[in-house]
Amino acid sequence: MSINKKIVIAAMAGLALGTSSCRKYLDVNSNPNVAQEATVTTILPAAQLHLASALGTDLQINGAIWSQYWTQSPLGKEYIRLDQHNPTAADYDMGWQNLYLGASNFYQLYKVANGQYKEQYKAISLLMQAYTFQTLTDGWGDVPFSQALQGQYPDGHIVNPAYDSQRVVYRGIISYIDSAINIIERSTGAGPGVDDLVYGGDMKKWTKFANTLKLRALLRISDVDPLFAQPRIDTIFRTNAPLIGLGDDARIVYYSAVGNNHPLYAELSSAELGHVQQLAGSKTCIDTMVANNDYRGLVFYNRVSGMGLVGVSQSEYDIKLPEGTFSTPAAATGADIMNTASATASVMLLSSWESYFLKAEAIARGYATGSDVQAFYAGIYASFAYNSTALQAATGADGDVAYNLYVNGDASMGIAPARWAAYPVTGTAEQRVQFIATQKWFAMTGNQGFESWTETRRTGYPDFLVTPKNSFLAGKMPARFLYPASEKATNAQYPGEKAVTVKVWWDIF
Amino acid sequence: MKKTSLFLVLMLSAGLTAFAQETPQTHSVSGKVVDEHGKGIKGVTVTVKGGTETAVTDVNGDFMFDAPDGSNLIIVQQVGFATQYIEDEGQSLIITMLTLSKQLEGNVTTALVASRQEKREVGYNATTLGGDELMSASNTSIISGLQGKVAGANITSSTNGPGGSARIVLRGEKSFMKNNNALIVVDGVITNNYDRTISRFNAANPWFSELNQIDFGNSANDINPEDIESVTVLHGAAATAMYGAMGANGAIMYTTKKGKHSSGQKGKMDITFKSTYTQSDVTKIPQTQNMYGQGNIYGGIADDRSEYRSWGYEMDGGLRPWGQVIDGKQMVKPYANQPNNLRDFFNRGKNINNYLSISGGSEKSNYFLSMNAMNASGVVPNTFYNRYNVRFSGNTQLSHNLYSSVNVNYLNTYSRVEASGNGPGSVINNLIQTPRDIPVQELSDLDNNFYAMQFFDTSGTERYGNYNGSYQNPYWTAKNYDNRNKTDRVISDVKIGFKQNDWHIFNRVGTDISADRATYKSPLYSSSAMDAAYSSAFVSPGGYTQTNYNGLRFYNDFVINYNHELSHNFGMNAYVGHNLTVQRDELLAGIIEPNFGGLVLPAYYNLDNNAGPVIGYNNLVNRRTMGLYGNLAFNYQRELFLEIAGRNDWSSTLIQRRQSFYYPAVSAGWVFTERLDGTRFRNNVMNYGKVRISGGGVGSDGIAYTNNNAGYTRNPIRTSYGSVTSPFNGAYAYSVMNAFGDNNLSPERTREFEAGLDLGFLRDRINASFTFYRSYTINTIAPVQLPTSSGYMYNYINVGDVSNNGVEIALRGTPISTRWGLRWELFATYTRNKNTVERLNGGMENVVLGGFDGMQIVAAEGQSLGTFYAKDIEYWKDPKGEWHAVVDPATGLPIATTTPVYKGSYQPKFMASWGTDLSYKGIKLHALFFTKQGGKFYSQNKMNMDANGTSEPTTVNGRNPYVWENSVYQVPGTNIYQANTTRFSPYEYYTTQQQTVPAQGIVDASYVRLQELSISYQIPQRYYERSPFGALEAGIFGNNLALWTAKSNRYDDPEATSAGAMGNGQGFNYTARPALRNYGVYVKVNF
Repeated sequence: MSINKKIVIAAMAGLALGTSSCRKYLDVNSNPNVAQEATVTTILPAAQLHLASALGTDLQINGAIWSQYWTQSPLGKEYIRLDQHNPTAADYDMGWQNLYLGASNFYQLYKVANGQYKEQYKAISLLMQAYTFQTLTDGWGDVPFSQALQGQYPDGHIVNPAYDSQRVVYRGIISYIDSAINIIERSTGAGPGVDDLVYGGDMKKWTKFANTLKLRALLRISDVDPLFAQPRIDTIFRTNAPLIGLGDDARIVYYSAVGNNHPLYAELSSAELGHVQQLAGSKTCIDTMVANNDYRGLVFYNRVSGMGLVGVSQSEYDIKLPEGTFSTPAAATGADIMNTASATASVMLLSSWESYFLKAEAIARGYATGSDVQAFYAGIYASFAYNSTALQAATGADGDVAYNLYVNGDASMGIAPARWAAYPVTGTAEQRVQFIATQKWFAMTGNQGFESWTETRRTGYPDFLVTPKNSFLAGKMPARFLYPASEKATNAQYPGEKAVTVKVWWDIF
Repeated sequence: MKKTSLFLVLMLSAGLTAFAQETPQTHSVSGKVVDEHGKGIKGVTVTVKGGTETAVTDVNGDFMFDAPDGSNLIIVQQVGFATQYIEDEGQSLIITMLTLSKQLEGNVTTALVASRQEKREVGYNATTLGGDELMSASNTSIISGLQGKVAGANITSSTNGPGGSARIVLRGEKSFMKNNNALIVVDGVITNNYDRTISRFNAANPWFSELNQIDFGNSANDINPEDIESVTVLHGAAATAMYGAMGANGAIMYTTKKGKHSSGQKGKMDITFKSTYTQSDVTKIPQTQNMYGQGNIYGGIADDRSEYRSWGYEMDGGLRPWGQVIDGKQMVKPYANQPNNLRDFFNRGKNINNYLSISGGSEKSNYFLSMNAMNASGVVPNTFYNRYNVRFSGNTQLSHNLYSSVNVNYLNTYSRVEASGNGPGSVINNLIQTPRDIPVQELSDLDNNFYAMQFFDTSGTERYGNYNGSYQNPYWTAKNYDNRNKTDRVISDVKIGFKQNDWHIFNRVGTDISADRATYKSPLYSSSAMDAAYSSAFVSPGGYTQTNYNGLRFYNDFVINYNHELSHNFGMNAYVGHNLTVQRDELLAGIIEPNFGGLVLPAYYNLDNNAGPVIGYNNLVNRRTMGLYGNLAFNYQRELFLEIAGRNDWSSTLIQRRQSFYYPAVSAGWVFTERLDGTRFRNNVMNYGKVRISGGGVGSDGIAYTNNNAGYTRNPIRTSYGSVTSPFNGAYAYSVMNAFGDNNLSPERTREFEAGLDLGFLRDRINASFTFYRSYTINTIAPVQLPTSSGYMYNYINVGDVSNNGVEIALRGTPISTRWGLRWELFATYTRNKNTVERLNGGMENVVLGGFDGMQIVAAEGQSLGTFYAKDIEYWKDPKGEWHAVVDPATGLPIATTTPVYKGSYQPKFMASWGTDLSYKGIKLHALFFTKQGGKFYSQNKMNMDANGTSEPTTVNGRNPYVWENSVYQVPGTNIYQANTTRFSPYEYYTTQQQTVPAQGIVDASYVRLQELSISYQIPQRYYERSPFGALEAGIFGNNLALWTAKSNRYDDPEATSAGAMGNGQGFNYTARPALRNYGVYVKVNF
């Protein structure tokens, strides 16, 4: 071997080292398994699905059990603690997590949209954050708000966000909504399309959503913070701000495609829950609906063959009832694991009936002028109309027929008008609020469990909720959710445990 | 950087030019190497100092080679013998090798770029084993074969079967997230030791986890132990600083067998053939109660024949119908205990291993070629493990000072393993849920409708006939849940070097390329019972997963070595090197998940048979490093040694500002007995003594991508048990990832100090080696859990510090060694390591390493890394210091703690081994015992068996209520505790209450094991002198033959783990397969 050859070999071996620049060689640490950036059209649906997953599962189950629509089925045992009014902190990890992760996505959505002049996305982000934080503070009281969602280094690296008082959170919610309304009013840019799972980018509906959400928030604090809330409620009506009406329901519809199922159905039909029907219809709701000739009962619950609707007394999971002898939540609620139609139910964010009942209550309480009677019946009607197809299928009577029967009765069949449909036109404000709240409670059966429970806390109605047989609270009702175990374990600013009976800020009666 | 590289190239070129021009003359050197008894030793390497020629002795111990003129120091080296330096005086040499102190002298393969050093030269602890010692019980895994032979190594061989996971940790765990396994280096090339078990799926597929485990083992087991000539274990930081970040956990250096140069006519082929047959049985099976059989008299139907639990009547041996009524018929059997019904399920594993090697060489070249085929059937029906290895190793002298060598090792494995854990496909879980009176073996007839799980009745309905309405017939599970893995792997290195006089310059390229394909089949079925009395059905939508993993490890080392005797008394050895490392892992998986629609057609496993979406998953990992290192070693009269090393690394896993990190190491050794040369003391008492002391630092870089911002993923949006995925009605959802990194992550760094003493007494009849070490690791990286109100769930930070302090002791004695050939040796090791998590940043109480929700294995400040953290029964300590269980006065049942408590660690307090070798002429007897004491492990079998009433504790007091031993209750509203007299219901406790206190599943992991026992016989040559055989040997062997465990452990082999070899959530047995005992025979022939 010649010397030259040796040099060539040696040089080649050596050159292998020097050919690429060191900096470039080492620049391979950008994670190829995640997208470094995402578009507003992909973040928006992700954020909305997070929110709907929380509302549709954990908050829905908990709310509907404490609102006494549902109770633990004797066939299972997954929700015994909730039914006993005896939850543990760990029961709230998942719901809290999905709400904050959803909010985190809305927060990042705002930043991305802001850099790209996508104004409508900014507005939706603010509205959805307002909605999420209202849900959080209504459920848990003081929650991280002003310092929340800023964990990443570019956002300030706040990994122990402080808890804000509910007053601060509520003021924040109102200002988010006002900003959003402002943005929608002055921007002309294109909005979202199919990526907006709630309204398909219809900004007019988002304006209605904004006003209705604002009305809901203000009404919630109208007792505890009257000087702030009441004039603003008045302004909403005085300016004829558009509110959600028939067909404007803010909801996310789910689909039968695998992975697109209603989250409650996906949850309850999972192998982990043993393919067992975990939820049963509560006697509290079913018996009142039956007594009121409310056909909606057959939409919200399954009838027992030969026996009609049969509720299980609240928290009587310990009596051994065989399968098929009691009513279970029906497919319209997403909770019927025996019926695949559950997969295509909706998660309701803000409903048309809620909007009408909010209006009725604002007027009945004298915060605004108008006809509370009209709004009251519009609310009932909205609920029947929304369920019209399902009513037709379940009872043969469509929404109009069932509504008329409910409100007016049918003398020929010896059916009296429903007791809770007879609005006390001449009654006191309190009496009127009782009817409004009770009707709202009926309308929210199986679809707005959390909001319903929240309103029972605020208004004290319906007055026929029972003390569950196996309650741990000796007659008291739960007044809040427990702070999640994860928060206690990880947040240095964790304010300490609050018992489930401690009332939230606006719950003053 | 460019400048440095250029400099190296120039140096190399200059060196070549300078030295290549000489044309040296050579002379022939020949001789014979013999042992103490004058018998020739085969296979001894003979070189001349400064020369490149190497000769190897033949069967008679003869050698011959050419040495350059002027060089006359002959170096004779062989593992297990002291290296000899002989002056060549121009005549035939007779060199006597002394089997001196095996553990004190001889050679070790150090990180000094895979060249050998004499053990006396190193200032740190290094243990070397020859291939024979490694294979003393024919272990199929090299790592398992080291058990009990190396002080300081904590080895966990999970199920001890071929291919099963084997973990090796030296001097304690240091990192939370990294795998802590020692680096495995083959002939100087770092190999890719990856887990085939679970780690690939954690992100993508909740279908697999530690709770639903499929143990394909780790890739360190691919390497064929028969190819190994010697193994050196480098315990500490000072020893491995040269491997940079990857050597932070110590290193295991494999030196493979090579062909030997031989000159002239003496050049001869050397052929070895070895055939081994091994059988395997399950060892420790959970101990069962033998009184109560199927049924549930407390909360169900007393003689429920569809029940899986054993809470029924006392077994009376009377005939009783069992199973379903099918077509009006029902089986009858005695209602009697089946003492071995768990054990009988398992087959006897059989393993045939054939090995052939051919080696040879000429003056200029040598080669080594080996082939191995191992075919093993497992103890669980239908499982198997096949391994094929081909190795080629060649070395050629290109010219008198330029050489090249190539090592290529092709490895192929193909295996099918059972699932364990608690998933529907877990063979072990379905088995463990068998009532005491059910004869499991009968269920093996899956064509019998009374046992079948899936057939059609006359109405066309899919039915099952098996007796059990809750758990599958385990034979059916073993047949239909089918998990396979295939690996093709090539480990190779190519080296070109230049050697002349004091200089040695080389460049080596090493690669380890693996391709793994795994398939996981989960059958589709929907079978209802034939018998109307059975209410439950077996339903699964089926699933299929196929994965493709490609791993690349590429290393380039360029080294310049200068080895010079400065004077007669003073020698030096210096080198500088440059290293490039590229790590690339690519995983591609297609998943049809049971929870996402599953399969359309049954028994058709293809990604095209999807009822729901096929989930695609890919994961790419890139990591690159560059290192510059130098090492300077001096010796004074080969008595005093000093070594100084330093390395600087640049790693892609850190931001540029932190990319570069430097760490040094210093070690010194003094063979003080040299001072006593010629004294009586040395001759008669202490013939060898060395003190050594060393200190080193080692930096371990970040983990790829852990310093990135969050980014966005399309992961499903999960609720507790369900999830939503996109596309969602035409919309694609990308969520902000819930974890993000700290841009400022620093490398993990370990500082270690060690001191040791090596002593030989009575002419090496007694040897002892002591090492003490203290190490402190800072900046270990882990994801800190964040409050989700921050918008995120995890943040990767430099989270804490870990210390490891310990002792390593190895002893060896030879009580008898006679001239007529009887030799008896005893040896022992003792290892103690105290591991402490010294500090946790970020206000964290602990970092979760493994386990499951409610039973976590954590790193918590002040505790060992790997401490159990779970809810337990509440205890109260009375003023006298005695502990009492606190019970509910109404039910008598113990109360659960409100928060998890720390319940001990999986780290053993100490490990020890004791062994003996007895040899007489050609007969050798070898035995080795090994023990670990003081650790804990979690046994899901205990929890399951307590719940289903098959464990012994459930039979106390005839299952009637009794008072919890030594229990108290708290007087409400006070701090007063009073003795309890309320009796509790064992049924309530074991089926319900205990399930809320998983800490009750933690049991003592202490054990003593008869690790190895073997007898071999070298048949005297006179019997086959005329045959072509050069040597003939046969033996019987066994490993893991007997196991003694702590009293509280009635359940599992404490080593059996569900955490694989790489995870730090060790000590976790979630219904893993029982471990194996292996025993067999072998025959070995040399030509």
